[in-house]
Amino acid sequence: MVNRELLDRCRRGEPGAFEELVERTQRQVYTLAYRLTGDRHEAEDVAQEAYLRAFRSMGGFREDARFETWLYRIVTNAAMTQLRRKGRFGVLMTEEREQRAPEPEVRPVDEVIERDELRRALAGLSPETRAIVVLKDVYGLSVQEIAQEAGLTEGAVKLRLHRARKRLKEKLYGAHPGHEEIRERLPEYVGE
Amino acid sequence: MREYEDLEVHLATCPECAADLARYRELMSAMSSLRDEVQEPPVGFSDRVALRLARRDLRVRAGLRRMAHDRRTHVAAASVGGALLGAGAIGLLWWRARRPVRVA
Repeated sequence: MVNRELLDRCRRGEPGAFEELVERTQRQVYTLAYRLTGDRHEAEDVAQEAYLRAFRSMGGFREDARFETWLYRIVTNAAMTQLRRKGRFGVLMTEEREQRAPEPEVRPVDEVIERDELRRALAGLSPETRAIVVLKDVYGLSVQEIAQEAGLTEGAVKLRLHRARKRLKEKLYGAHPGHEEIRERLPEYVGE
Repeated sequence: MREYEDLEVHLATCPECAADLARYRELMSAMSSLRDEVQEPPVGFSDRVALRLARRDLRVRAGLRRMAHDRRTHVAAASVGGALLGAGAIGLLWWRARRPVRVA
């Protein structure tokens, strides 16, 4: 957790202050970078780049937002840049190119999803789709914020989100015969 | 509103869609629980960040030092200084010329 006093010390350029900030936030920053890129080396590059950008723009941070949220947006932006540079983000990476894992047997609805299973299912998505679903469903960013970071329209983000959740459910529960038009309305039904 | 009620009725009467809703909720809950889970960064990560920051700092300082010793910077600074002095002198002359002359 980063408090106001540490932020002030960083802004004044006090020796060791930014290093302390890195020490306190590195786990969360690296975890997000890893979830977005799906690769340990790329995650380290993204996390380092994010800290450099944060260091440069410390003066631009407004106290009305939580520092961690601000930092997460920088990490997201750095990850999107990295994925785009490596051609792993955008129209080239569509659903057809996602790694297709064998579908599991249909499992009971009340069976709890293990974290490992969920991680594997996420790893099987394309980087673009994974980034969008992680930002929305794990970190709680709004569709509008994701659209801004990803350079997509809100409609495009919603479409990818719908596809990603459908793929995740298929990977975790197997194919199920519910009605497609009802499935599309479930986010609205649960109040999203 | 009507559409929402229709959806509720459908979910109450269609076991497949009701199961789909339960799966959806379960998935959302599992996804949000990932937020609490953290990955340990590789050993030496924070040192490497500090090193990159220090290198960047050195580059900025070296750039400033180069600028300070560059003849072109001196010429540019002298030109800007000269221009400012000239503009000041012209302004002063103009201001004095416009001042009403006092008759004793």
